[in-house]
Amino acid sequence: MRWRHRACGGGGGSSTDAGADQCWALGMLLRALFDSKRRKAPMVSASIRETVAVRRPDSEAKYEVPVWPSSSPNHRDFANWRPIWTDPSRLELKNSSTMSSEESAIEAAPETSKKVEPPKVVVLQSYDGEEFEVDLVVASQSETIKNMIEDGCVERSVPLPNVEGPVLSKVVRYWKRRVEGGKEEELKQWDKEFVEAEKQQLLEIMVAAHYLNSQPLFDLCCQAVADTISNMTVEDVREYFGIENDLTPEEERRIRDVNRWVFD
Amino acid sequence: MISSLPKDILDKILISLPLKDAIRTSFLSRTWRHAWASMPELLFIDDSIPSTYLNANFLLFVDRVLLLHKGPILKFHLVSSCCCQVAIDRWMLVLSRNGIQELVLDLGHDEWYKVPSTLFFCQELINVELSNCIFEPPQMFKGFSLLSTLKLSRTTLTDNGLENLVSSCPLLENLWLTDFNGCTHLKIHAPKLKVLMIFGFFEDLHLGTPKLVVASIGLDGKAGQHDVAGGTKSNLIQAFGSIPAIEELQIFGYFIELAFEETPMVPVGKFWQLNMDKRFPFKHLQNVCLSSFSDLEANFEFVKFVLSTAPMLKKMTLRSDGCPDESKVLRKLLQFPRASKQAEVIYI
Repeated sequence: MRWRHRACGGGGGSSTDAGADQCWALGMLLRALFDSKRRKAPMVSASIRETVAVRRPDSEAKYEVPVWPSSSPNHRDFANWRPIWTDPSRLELKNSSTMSSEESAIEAAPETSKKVEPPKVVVLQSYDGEEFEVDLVVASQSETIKNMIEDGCVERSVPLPNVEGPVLSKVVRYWKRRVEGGKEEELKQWDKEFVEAEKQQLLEIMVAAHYLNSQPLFDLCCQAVADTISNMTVEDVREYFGIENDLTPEEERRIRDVNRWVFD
Repeated sequence: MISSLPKDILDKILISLPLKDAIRTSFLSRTWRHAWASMPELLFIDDSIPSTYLNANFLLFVDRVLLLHKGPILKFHLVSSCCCQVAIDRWMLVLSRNGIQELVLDLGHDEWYKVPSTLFFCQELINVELSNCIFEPPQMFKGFSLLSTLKLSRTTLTDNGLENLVSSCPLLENLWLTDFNGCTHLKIHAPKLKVLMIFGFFEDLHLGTPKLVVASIGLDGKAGQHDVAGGTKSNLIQAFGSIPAIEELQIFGYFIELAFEETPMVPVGKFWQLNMDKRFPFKHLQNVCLSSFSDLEANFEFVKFVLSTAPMLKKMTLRSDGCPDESKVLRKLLQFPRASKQAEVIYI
C-alpha cells in the first residue's frame, strides 16, 4: 500500500475561513429562498441552525462528544457496547442554541460592539404598554431583539407590538432562568414545571416565542402543546385551538376514506 | 384564541406529535386538512405508528405516508427492525426527489442492507446516520458537497471507499465510524473535521485533520491480532502531530500499546522526545481520557509526554484495566512533571 505523506503538521489555521463560512451561510440562505423548485427555505430546522453555529470559528457551540461506557467490568469486552446515539430516544439532534449564560454573554459582547454603544439594560414594551426592564444578555435570548440591537435601532426601549403584557412577563421569566444556567437536569426539570404552570397561556407563549425567535422556548412550547393534544379527541383539539369546524359532512367523509388506513 | 397559525408553527407542532396523531389532525378543519402532508420532517419510530401496523404492515404504513406526502422532506428518521432491501430502495428514491437533508436509518441488528445508489446523488444531504449497511459508492460518485455529519455504525466499506468519501465531502465536521469492517488502513483527510470517533478493528490510522477538536479512538481486538508491519509507529506520530487544535482526546483499548508492540532500536522512553520534539501537538488539549490503562511502559510514557507538553490541560482520566498494583501506578504518576498548573490526574 502506497502511503501518501502530506505535510499536515502545524495546521496553520487561517482566520480567513471566517469570511468563507459566512459567505457559505449566506449562499445557502439565498439558494433556499430563490430555489426554482419553490421549496420552503429551511430556516426553522434545528439542524441548519446547528450547522451554521458550528461553522462560526469564534462560536462556542458545544460539540457532540462521544461517550464511552465507563462501568463495564472488562474494558476489553466490547461485545455489548453500542454507541449511545443508536438508542432511538437519543436521535434528536443536540440543539446547540441552548448555550450557557457565559457563552451567550461572550457571544453577545463582541457582536454588539459595532457602531452604536449598546445599552446594558433594555426596556421591552408590550402591546398594551407594560414595560419590562431586563439586562442585555436576557433580551438577547430573542434573535429578533438581538438583531435589532446589533443594527443599532435600539437606544433603550424595544417596542413589541405583537406581544401582550402577561405573555411577555412569562417569556422574560423563562429567559432569566435560562441565563442563570445550571445543570441540564435542573433546567429540564424547571422547563417541565414552567410548562405545567403556564398551561393556560401555552399557545400565546408559543406564538410570542416564534415572533421573538427564541428557539429553546419555542421548541419547548411546541412539544408541550403536542403532548397536550396528543390524546385529545378531535372536538377537544378544536376547542383548544379555537378552530371552527368548516368542513362539510361530505368533506369529512372523504377525509375519513382517504385516511382510513391510519385507523384500521 | 388562536384562529390561524403560521405554517412554521403548524409544522413544528405536527412534527412534535406522534405520526398517527399528526395524520388525525386532518379532521380538524380545512386549514389543517392537508397540513400534515407538508410536514418537512418524517419520523418513523416504532412506537409512533398505530398498533395495528407492526412488522410487515409497517412497510405499508411508510409507503402510504410517503405517497400522500407532498412537498420537501427535510428530515427522515426510521427506527425499526422490520424493513427489507426493496422497501429501502423505494423510500430512498422518494427521498432523493424531495430534497432530503437529514437521514437517519436504524434498522436493527439482524439484517444488512446495501445502501442504494440513489442516496449518493442526494446533494442536499447534511447529516447522515446509518447502521447495518454496506456502503459502496458508485463510480460516478462526486461526494456530498454539503455533508457535515456522517455516522456509520456496523458498516462494511473499503479503505479506498472511505478515503474517497471523506475527501470528497469538503464540509465534513463530524465523523463517527463504529464497528466497521472491510477497512483496516484508515486514511482520513478532511480539512474541516472537528469531531472524530473511531471504534473498531484497524491496523493503521492516517489523519489529515488540522482542525480536529475532539478525537475518540478505540481499538478493538486483542494483542497479537494485529499485523504490525513497522509502518504503524510512524503513522501514530503523524496522527498525533496532525491534530494541533485538539482539545479533547479519548483513547479506548490498547491503541497506544499497539504502536510499541514491536519495539525497534529506539527505547520507548526516548520515543516521544525524539519524534515530537519540534512540534507541539497538544497546545490546546484540555481533557484526556485513557480507558483500559494497564501498567505498561508505553502507557506511562504517553501520559508523561502529554502531561509535560500540554499547557492547557485540565483533566486526565485514566481508567485502569484491573491492574493489581495500584499504589505503584499512582506513585509513578505523581512523579511526572506537569506543564499545566491546573491539571488533575484521576485514576479510577
